[in-house]
Amino acid sequence: MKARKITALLTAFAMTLSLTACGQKADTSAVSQTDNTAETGEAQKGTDEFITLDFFCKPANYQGIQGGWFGKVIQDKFNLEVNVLTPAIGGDELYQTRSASGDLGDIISVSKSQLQDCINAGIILDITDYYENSTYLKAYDVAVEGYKDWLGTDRVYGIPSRSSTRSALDPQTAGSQPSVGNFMRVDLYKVIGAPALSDTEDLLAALKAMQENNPVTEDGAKTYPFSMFKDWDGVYMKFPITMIALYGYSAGSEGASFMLLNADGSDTQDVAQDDGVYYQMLKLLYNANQMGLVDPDSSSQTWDMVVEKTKNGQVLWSMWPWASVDHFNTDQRADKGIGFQAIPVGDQIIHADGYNQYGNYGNVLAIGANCKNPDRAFEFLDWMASPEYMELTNAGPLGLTWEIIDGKAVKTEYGKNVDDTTTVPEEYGGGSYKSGSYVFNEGVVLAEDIDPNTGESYSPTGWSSIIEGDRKKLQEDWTEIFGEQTPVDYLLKHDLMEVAPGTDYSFPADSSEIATKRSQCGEVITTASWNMVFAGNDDEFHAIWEQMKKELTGFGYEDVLETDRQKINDLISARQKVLGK
Amino acid sequence: MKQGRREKSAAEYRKKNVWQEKLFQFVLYAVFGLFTLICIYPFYYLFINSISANNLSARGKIFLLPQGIHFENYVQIIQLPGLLHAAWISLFRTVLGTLGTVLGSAFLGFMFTQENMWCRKFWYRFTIATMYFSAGIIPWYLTMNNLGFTNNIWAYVIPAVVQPFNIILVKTYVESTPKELQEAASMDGAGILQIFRRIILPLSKPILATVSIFAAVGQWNSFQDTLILMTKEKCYTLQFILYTYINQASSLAQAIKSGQGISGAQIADLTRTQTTTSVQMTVAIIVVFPILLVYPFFQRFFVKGVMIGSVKG
Repeated sequence: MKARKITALLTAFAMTLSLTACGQKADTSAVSQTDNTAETGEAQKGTDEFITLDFFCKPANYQGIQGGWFGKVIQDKFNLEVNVLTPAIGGDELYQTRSASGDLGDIISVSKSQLQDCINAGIILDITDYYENSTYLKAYDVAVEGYKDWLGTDRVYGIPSRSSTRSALDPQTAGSQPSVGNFMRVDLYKVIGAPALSDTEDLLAALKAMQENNPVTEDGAKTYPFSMFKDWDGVYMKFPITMIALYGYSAGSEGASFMLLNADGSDTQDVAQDDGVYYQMLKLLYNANQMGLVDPDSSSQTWDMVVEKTKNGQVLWSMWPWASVDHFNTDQRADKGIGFQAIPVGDQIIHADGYNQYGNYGNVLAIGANCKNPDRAFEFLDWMASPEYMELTNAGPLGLTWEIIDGKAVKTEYGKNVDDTTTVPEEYGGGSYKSGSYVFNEGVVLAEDIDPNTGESYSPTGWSSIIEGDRKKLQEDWTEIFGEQTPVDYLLKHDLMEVAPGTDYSFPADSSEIATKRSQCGEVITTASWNMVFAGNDDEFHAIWEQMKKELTGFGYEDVLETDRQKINDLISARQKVLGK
Repeated sequence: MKQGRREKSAAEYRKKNVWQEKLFQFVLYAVFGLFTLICIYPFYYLFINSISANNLSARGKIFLLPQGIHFENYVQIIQLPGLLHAAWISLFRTVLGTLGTVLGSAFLGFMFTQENMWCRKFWYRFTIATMYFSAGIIPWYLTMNNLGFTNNIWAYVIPAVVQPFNIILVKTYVESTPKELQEAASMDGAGILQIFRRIILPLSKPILATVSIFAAVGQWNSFQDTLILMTKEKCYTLQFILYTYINQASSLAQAIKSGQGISGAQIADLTRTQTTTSVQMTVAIIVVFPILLVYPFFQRFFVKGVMIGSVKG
């Protein structure tokens, strides 16, 4: 008995001891890594010691050390490793607690307004002098100056991320497809005779015919054109608020405004406007439901379920290429001419965001005031604006996954066949290719920008070799019907796309009062929208709309609109400023 | 004749009684069977969904029997980097954290019953007040940071020693034990520590078993502290790694939803083999299973009547 007790105690003690290595001092792993990398590090960086930089990165979707082949590139180049911290994993508390303690991270990527708070709190390093001597960042001076203006300072604190040097009037697209569009199954569209679609009625009739032609999938599941989901709803219903882009409108920044505007700002309207574009979209979905085109699971399913249904061929329409083309169009299907492509509709003028020289997606990169190695952190930040960084993060290591042939980027056989099980050769660091890819989802430059080494976009979706190589029966069929190479070509040629120029304007955060009112009104709008789509008849449809407007008044809708009108006016003048230039 | 009739009716009565008894038993079994099913089905549901074809589970098609059985989901989790080390950290915090909570609660609970303890009322209220008033997450983080509890695994163990709720439990329990036992021990020359060790600890086994379960489950499941306090991978716990894994699956969708410039190809890549549903189901099984084992282990301490006959007269 005693012996057992002693053994138990000893075991517990040994366990404790084995784990104390995780205590404060214990940096044994780092030390050993220093030893391993001492040679390469010294060769590259003289006497620099091996360090770890904490990267507080809002867009990242992984928390921990960047490892794998990309980690090796960083280590060989800078003799450091990057430890990623992200609110995507840690929640907003991570931002709040770390910023309150004054040490958000060595390198930081947060929203513009969050960075403003951090600057006011004195936890962001003034990098003006570093910036003046930077190698790559200087190319994005427009963005840096824009953010300085926005802050009202003459010092450099932040570098807007994902800035573009492309024209603010060029539409952002998903390669050969528009970012939002009327994505339909080309094979089924052909079967019904590829009728020209001039308006919404034609569209619904075509979808009905497609559904009747293909009522069930191979495994017997029913098909529907409109399969919606509730989990992305915010202060409005997700489907109609995104669908307004098909008719040339946008909310400026989704979730931040009840005012909607078209690309050139000539028309503005609020969400609850009678016969407004949001109402029209609800009407479209209501009509679709009356015709049996809406998946009855819509109000109970999640985005994940819709993805699986799409893969299985149960969904016949989508407004997003990444929800349709990327999930359904496998090589085997495309070879047989089966798959989604954007099909133009006569009365649809698609709203597209132009490239933004002031940074896209609203984040800013900065260096923490408590950073112990600001020189090296900035050196790394500067590299994040380099073509090398953009090539690595978009296409992988040159020579392994892609190569340059006749000045154009081309994927290697290895690059074409990368999947979950692909391993990386030892000289590139070994391990799995996928888990070794970069996890930041962040950079100074936009992926669609032009690589000076190839003259094409960094992102492979824009490579001519990829676009041409991807042409299969599906794309040929589409071209046969519409006479253009790609949907984007068609939309641009026929003036079916309107571009909202990228500006330095970003929506300010709501005051807490407005935020509360907005969320209350949002709930009313979302609930009413769903009820309207599934309303039994026209009278019910109208009654719910009227009731919604009445309720909104009680929740302070007008107050919210007042601030939104101001925001929208500011956005319009910012756009006009860009156009004036 | 009369006798015979009486015997007959008694037999009939018995027969009827047996029949009723059987019906009663049947209903009883049916009700408890159903109840058991309700309790077990969620676990079963998780399990069959975690081993079924991922596209079927994501579409909510798996209810009764697994279809397209595979174990790739578990293989993927086992291959997560740092999983083994994280499991050790979780084991460490569960074992030592529980030990700390149990001993701390037992000793403090006992001390708060001792009338001659210095400023007893003040300390008791001081401890209990923390149950009702919380400063919020930022002051908590700043305090922990100042105390050197960031990136330090003792942050899992030391703050867990004083847990007001468990202290109340133990205090109430100790108060319900006969005071005479402590007095008798004290008359025999036992000091306060000796009374605690020799009398109170053995007597309080049932309540300490309860506290242990609370503490062990709490420690095993906790990831919030890792989230906020730990930035170094070597301090990550199993729960945190799994939480990260789940979030990774859903955060890409979140990112594309909020227009963070994630390419569709990235999403398609991620969902090719795994789905958010399959990841959630598998992680749930891995998380729940070990802690289920704790309950039967502590069952034997839930014994009643240890004090029967301890005080006479």
